[in-house]
Amino acid sequence: MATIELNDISIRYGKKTFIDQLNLQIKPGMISTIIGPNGSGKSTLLKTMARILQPETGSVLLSGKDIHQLASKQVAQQLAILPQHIQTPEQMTVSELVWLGRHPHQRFLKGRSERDEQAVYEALEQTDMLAFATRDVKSLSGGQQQRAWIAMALAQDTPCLLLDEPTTFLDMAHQLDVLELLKKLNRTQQKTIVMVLHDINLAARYSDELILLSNGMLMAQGTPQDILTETLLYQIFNINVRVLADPQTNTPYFIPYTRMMDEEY
Amino acid sequence: MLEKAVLTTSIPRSAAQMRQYYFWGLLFVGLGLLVFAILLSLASGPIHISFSHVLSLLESRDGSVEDLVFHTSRLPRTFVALLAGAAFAVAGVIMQGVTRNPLACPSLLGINQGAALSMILMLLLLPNITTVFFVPTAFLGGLAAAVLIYGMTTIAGLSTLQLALAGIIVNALFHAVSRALLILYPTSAQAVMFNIMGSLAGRTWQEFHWVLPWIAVCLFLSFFLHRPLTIFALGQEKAIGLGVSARAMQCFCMLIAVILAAAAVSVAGPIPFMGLMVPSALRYVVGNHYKQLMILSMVYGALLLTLSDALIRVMNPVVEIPVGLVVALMGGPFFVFMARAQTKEEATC
Repeated sequence: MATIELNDISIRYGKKTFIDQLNLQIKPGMISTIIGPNGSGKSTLLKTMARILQPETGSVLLSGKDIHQLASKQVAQQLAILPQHIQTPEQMTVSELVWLGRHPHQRFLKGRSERDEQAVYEALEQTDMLAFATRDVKSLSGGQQQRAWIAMALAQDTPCLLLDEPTTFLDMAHQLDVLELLKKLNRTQQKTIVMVLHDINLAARYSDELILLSNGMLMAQGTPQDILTETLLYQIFNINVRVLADPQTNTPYFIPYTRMMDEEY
Repeated sequence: MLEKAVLTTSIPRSAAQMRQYYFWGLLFVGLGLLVFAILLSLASGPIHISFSHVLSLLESRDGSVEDLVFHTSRLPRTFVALLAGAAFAVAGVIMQGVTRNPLACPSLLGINQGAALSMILMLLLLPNITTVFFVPTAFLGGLAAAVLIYGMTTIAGLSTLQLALAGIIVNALFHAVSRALLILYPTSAQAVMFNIMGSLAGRTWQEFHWVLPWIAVCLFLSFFLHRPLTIFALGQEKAIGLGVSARAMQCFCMLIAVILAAAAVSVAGPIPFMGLMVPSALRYVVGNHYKQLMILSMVYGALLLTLSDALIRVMNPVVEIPVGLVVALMGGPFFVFMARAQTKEEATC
């Protein structure tokens, strides 16, 4: 099982600091979700983990090796990322898109292997996209497109899966679909999943661990029960909340009541 | 479940299948037209050679005047047109893929004029230079233009249309210097032979031989770029995620494209819009399918240049209009159309 470890990461553009000397260990085989207010550096942190951004200081270790020292293809065999803003290409079918996910495993001038075929089929099956395999991605609805992208990441067949806000632009039903799918993948294949989610209640329901960021700093890391407390949410989000237990799943959730104004107002 | 059944049965042929049909259809039509264009190019000129004579000359030589013209002038000129046309078009495909900008092409990024300027400089300063250095020299000029554009885009962060604008500025700059040099030093016969409008008049086997290895090798290499180019279309982040070392691969692709464009410029001059028109038109049919796009662009690029070059000789066999002007006449309106479509797309985003 691959581990991800961030040591003393800092990211700055000009004078603005996005991530400030952050240390973090992702627990293998678990679903970890990064939460935090707008502009707290959630996406930046995820992109750093996926070597899309290079930190100014510090290192990202993938199974103990510096991610920027490894060959990009080697990293891609261990870690797949679904960025938030991706361009849906013109005139490309779902199966063609999913096939691109096999790129890190395909060797130059070598044809498609049986393993490739199998991985693509499984990815389509798990995401319920077999019926749409020959359709153009552009012709699908938002939820179906998102599933096609997830299928592509699955075809990459990596022990780690990173997703940046995989539920944005989706309605409630499709949000649940995506999160249920991720949970299933985690439970059946022990995939390590790290994602950024906006909705803290959904994050609490589906995650084993929450990573709470604020102003580029790690404020807390722990189980949803540890993180969803009235004090922490008040500190970080400036809201008064009531934390309850979900009667069905027994995970914590909160109801926000009032936004606390800063003292100077 | 019902929804799925309806969706799959209401489409008799899948999108991918249809695209396959279109691809093969376009390929055969293109190849057929290409044969016609080659025959027309071989037949037309100040000395007209009939089609039947062309065919018999291809089989055996007969020592006639037509035979001499055919072997020393028509054949090499046609071959050069085929190579240069394919090179310009494929260079356009690669540049559009790398920059993810449908308006990118060797002429709009200033690569053509950069290569042309360095060719003229070389011919003026080193008139006795061997032809081996022609393509490398043109390449240096093209590379300078590419670096200049790259600098402008990364420093200023230009949009799709602004990138084309920056290219036009670089183009105009290089073009002005080239013109000035030709006016100041009109005595250099070689430099005058190199038409800065873009022309294939008077091409011989010599030009064909100096350009063939460069274009052949790069066209062959560009074939293997189809998967990275397809992945670039998904955006930089996804490309890195899939293990395409984006920066290095982009540089390699650009390098191939600049060599292709520079080699074509060294024999045909800076023919504009070739790399824009051919891939853009084909993209409407095959989309971002770079394998198919690459093959079709080779065929249609070769077709467009060979046919244009033949038609100017059909229209006026004695006084030739530079083929670059004819292509520019087609390319101008095409660019306006593309730019309009682009602005609309950006407005709706």
